[in-house]
Amino acid sequence: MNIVVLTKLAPDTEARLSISGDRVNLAGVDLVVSPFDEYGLEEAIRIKEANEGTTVHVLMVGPEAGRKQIVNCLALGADEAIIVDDAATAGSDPHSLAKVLVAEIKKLEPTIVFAGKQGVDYDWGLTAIAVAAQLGWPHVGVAKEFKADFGAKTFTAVSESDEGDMTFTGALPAVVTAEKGLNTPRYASLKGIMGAKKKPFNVRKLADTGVDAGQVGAAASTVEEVKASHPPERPAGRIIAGDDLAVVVAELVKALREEARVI
Amino acid sequence: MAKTLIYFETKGDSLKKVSYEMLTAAKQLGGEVAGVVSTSSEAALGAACAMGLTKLWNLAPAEGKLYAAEAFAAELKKLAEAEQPDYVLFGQTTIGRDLAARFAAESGYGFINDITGIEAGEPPTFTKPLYAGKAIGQFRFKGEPPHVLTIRPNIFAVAEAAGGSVAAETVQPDFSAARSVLTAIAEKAAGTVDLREASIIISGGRGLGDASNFQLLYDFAEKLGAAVGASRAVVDEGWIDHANQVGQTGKTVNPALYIACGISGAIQHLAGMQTSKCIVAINTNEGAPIFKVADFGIVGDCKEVIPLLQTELLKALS
Repeated sequence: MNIVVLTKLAPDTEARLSISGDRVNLAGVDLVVSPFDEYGLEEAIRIKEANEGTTVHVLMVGPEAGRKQIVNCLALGADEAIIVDDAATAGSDPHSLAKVLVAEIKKLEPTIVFAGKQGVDYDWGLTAIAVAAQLGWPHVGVAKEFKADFGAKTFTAVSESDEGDMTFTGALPAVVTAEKGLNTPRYASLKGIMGAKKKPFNVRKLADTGVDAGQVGAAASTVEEVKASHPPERPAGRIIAGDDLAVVVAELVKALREEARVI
Repeated sequence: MAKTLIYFETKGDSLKKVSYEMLTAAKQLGGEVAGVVSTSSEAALGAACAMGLTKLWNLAPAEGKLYAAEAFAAELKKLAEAEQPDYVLFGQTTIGRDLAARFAAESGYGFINDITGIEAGEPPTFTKPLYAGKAIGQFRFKGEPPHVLTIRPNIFAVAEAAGGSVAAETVQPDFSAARSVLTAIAEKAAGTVDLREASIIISGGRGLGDASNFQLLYDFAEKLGAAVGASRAVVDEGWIDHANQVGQTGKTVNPALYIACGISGAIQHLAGMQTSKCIVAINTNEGAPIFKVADFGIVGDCKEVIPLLQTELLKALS
């Protein structure tokens, strides 16, 4: 059985971002595998460990410059990496990215495609579901629990919601997007790190996928990014100090009522 | 004139707050508004009927089959093709984000999610936080409508239902063709307030000392009808469930009052709460970055401040 894990690189969540030329400037920012994807990868590796004959493929549309981060996915337990690195994909919307991913996924005939619930960059949350739609597969989104029965080709998943935990049942093959808490991702072992270097690492061009260049890139995008800016800065606040904590707290509550008017 | 179709969400016998917020967003887009809802509650359906709509469809849930993205998206596609709306609006909720994405994906419609603002124009510009709020992006749709939008809860004003009463047309989604079906929703413990809906959030971090001190926050939340949030550090430590995490890999919240207790203010946490109306920080370290975004700060021990604050707030609110 094959399992595909979709990944992308995104700025480390601890990173500060600068803006230049109406765009977020990522020069010099540490890029990491988008955190939600890590839960998808961990889930795939656990399934592999429990089901002999399973191969985990990590798939990304993105720059080969991210090789180090993807090699780490191999060190964690994935078996093969596929990167589609082609300048033509720059500025693609999620629908277009899904086309490229689907072209590669179809070659592998996987049982499950895992991805994070969203990339921690533009937070679209669309690409993985577009992959499901284009494959004609079911999907389950934002899973914090997942259980598959490979014999019966069924799954059960739980998503958190404001109404309470939601239980989904469905059929494999399926696309599953991961929420934090689905599992606790492991760290790479020394043996894993050594072994990762010998695992297949495929770098492909758009032409290798069979997707036409006219179907991807900014020109094919259904949305246009006008500009990016910093969020408005919050005005400086004030520290309420004093010797008697009870007086300090009373003053705070007075300020909440009379100045902030939130109570 | 624009034509907008709204996917209203219900909770029990009423419409969710975000449903009324979507109506405000639709009014900003101008023109006619029609609706889709999915409920087996007569009362919730009645509330939807009174939203001042031109038309309303009810995607009827079945026994043990409450929702299915494939089946619902297929019905929405039929409606969109027949009615030709310019915009189809969803809430950025568990179901809203799921259905909006599947609906947009099935037909390759333009998609902008989690919007926090609409700037009028030809075409209009939509504001959406990027990197969980570390940057703000502005987007426009290209190409042919319909365009798919999801709106962030608690941002748009709550619209008054315009009244009137449109007759709802029942549509039976084809659950037999769906291969991923919502079969059950576990009820939440009584009295727990959801982070996304709370007007007061009291949030705890490592500065609380240990997991047992979260009890102070639970007591506070129970007495004041607040929700309990947490920093990533304490979620990763296992002090509290991920459902309570505020920040870039947790929830983005915007309550009227956010009280950060023993939270230093890592950038990924600030991203998730900096749009709160008023932020109060309580921390023993006066150099903590949280004080830079706080409207009011107290340098002190949370264990002493929280009970005092609880008493004072209860007095003020009674």
